[in-house]
Amino acid sequence: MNQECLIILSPDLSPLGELNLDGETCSQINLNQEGEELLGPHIAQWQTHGLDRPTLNSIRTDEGLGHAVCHDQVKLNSEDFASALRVWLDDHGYLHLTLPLGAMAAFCEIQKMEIDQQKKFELAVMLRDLPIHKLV
Amino acid sequence: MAWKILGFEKSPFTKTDISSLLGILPKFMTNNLDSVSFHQGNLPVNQYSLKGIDHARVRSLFLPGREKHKIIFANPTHESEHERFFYVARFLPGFLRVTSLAGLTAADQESKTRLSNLVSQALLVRPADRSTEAWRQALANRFCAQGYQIERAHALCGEAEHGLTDLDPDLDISGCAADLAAWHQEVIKRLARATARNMINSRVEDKHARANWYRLLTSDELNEYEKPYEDFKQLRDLLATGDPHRVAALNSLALALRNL
Repeated sequence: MNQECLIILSPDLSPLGELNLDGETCSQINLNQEGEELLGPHIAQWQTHGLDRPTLNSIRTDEGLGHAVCHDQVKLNSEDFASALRVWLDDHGYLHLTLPLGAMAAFCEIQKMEIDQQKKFELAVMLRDLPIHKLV
Repeated sequence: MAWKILGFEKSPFTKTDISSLLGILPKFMTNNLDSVSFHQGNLPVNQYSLKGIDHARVRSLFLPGREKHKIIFANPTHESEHERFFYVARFLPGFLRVTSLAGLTAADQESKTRLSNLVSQALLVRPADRSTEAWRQALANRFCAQGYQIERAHALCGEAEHGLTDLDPDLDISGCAADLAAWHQEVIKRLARATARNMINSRVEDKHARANWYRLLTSDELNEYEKPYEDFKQLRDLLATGDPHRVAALNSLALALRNL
């Protein structure tokens, strides 16, 4: 199984936490203090009710054919959760990066560097795009 | 195209809010909008015709009957005020995205998928300010997050910009994105304030105690000894600014009122 980390970043690109993924299934969620404040209650909601995923469906009513904005709930242990979470993060102004597990040590080193958040983010993107054997 | 929005009943939304939203969407999205219907379940509540100038941007809304209408989102059942607010706050950005996708005209069918993705990203990115440079960087970061390499992400920003301005030469993309973000923030602020007020009114009977609660949550003149000021710092930020990333802070008020 492909093991990866989905890193969640705030709108100003500071890390908030990460999800450990086995394929697209979430096995664990870790949040730092800021992440807990911003996302903790949402995650607690998702654990009980699932993650709301808005969808546009065609519907027919007395007035004819139209579109309805509906939603479904994606469970935390579902194979769809990671992709639904990425859409939710996009919609709500957060950013995310999915890195191979082997890249996390290098990601942590990047966070310690004395450079601005935009540069750290771009370095992390380049890290993501490195061939896996170069990370060993 | 008739739009139908299904959901819950109460809302502080006004005609001005809908005008603002439609006014900042580019005209290729609003060209084919004939009417906006608001339903509860499958029963129509209100229907509003949109009057514009042929295919120009919508200039006004014709709202028969009541001044205030009811915006409805997806028919949930909630036990409490703050859960309903929480739901709307979570739902609203995704609603803007999917409805912007549906607004593309039939003429765009060939490149619809690709353009629709670019459009929704371009308009819903949250720039740090109204400048085109901030918008481009924010959009490029989003494309990077979705798996594109940095150079390709910046090239996509250019495609998004050209694609949108080809469809609507007058479109101020960074301005639209900033306006949508500001509108969203304003909606969250007003919803949060209304929800907080309703929560306090339902749990606190004494009018002086209620006034004290409002003061604790909204006054700029609290001193450092007033508790539980620190506990409500995030909530005060939410009520003052409508920061969408602080919506979870309303839970702290629910907890405090429950423990009274």
